[in-house]
Amino acid sequence: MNINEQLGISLRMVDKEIENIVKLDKDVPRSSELARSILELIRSGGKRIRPLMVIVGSRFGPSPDERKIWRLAAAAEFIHAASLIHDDIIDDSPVRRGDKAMHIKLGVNRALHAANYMSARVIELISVYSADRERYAYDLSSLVTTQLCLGEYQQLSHLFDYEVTIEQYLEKSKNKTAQLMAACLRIGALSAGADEETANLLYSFGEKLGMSFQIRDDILDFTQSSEQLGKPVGSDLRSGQVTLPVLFALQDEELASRIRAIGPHTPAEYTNEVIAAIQTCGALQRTEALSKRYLDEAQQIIDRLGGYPAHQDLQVLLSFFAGRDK
Amino acid sequence: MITALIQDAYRLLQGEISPETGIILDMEPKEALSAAQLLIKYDLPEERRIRLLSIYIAIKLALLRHQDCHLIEPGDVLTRQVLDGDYLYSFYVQLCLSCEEFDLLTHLAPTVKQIQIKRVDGRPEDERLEKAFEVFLRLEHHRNHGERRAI
Repeated sequence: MNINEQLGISLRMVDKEIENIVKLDKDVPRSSELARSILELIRSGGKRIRPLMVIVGSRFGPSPDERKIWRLAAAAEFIHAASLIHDDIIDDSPVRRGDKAMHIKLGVNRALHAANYMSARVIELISVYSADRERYAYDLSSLVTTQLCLGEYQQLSHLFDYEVTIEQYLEKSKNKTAQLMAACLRIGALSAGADEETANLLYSFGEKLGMSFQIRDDILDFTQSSEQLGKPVGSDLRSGQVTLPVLFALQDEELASRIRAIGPHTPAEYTNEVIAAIQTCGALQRTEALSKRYLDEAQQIIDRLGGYPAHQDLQVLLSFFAGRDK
Repeated sequence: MITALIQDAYRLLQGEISPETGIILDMEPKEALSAAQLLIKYDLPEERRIRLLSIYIAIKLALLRHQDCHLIEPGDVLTRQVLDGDYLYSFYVQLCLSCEEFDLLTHLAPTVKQIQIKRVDGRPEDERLEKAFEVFLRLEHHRNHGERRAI
């Protein structure tokens, strides 16, 4: 059973709500290339984890405003999709979800602004409910991507930097990945009138899932085949990203000197050998253990929220994140 | 007075932008000139005038950073251009929220969106930004003026 089915959420409804963000925009003709490109991207797939998290969060409040919650859920996915378009431009990645990336179809300039349109459209939509200013300010500040950008800057400033600390790596991962996931649960909860303590616990739960998600992603870069990844194994390291498996491998003195020799112009054959060594030095197991620790901490939060029937939905989310690579 | 206003807005903005971004406000002050001239036409507290101009500069700088990205080869320079623009677009929203300029944000949001649509169409109309500020200030002035008269 898919995660959305386990949560009792119709993915078709979620997708319809996401599509409506662009379809109901009077400034964008439905036949325009902008509308078509965005709808193509939305229809190309995705598990809609962030919208699901908003909806699950709303189940912890006494008075869910369905209309608003679904709109927020769709907005979260719209923001995420916009960030993917820019990621593909930055990474010069030609493929997204098995299809040509938007900048390949439209060119860099138009794709860049199509993504900007998506973010700006979300700001416009949320600012409509200006009657409740406190809520509106919170929802907006949760969905703006300042933190996500900071995570990207942190990553960029540490390319091929083997002195980066585990704390810096975790901070980057929090900004880049975990913060938006955490915010999704929290805005859902607050929109449904949940109390602050519950909303904060949900935020913390989402943050731990997000951290585990990013760490797991970094492991997959070493463990999946190039066919599964759609790019060479160890692409993160090849492009200078010093992820957690590399940081643990750097604690092995002999391997550390070989890793440190990798730079932007290192021949692929040399990097292949180092990647093979990282795969077998125990670093992946240590990384996995940290990922699991985050999931264990998330489980403890579920236990604290056991009084809510919706705590079972958190269990579904946790199981999904724990088994993502299987 | 205008020069001081622009300098103060730049200073405010540079102080608020996270140093981790490495963003340098390299926009020519003349790019903010007409917005500054517009702001001094209205009877606003100096502090607010600086704040509004800093919001304008943040959006203008975001527009500049994302302009002509297609001419840059993939790599560090392109990455920074894209990230700077992204950061500044979200930063202007945060700036509006932290200054409680909710009405301004609601007023600007459709304009910032329309500017992106026009850029996708290959027919940029970036001048909409300044016009949006002008309309906002005029409406606010009329509203305040009307309220005073009603009292």
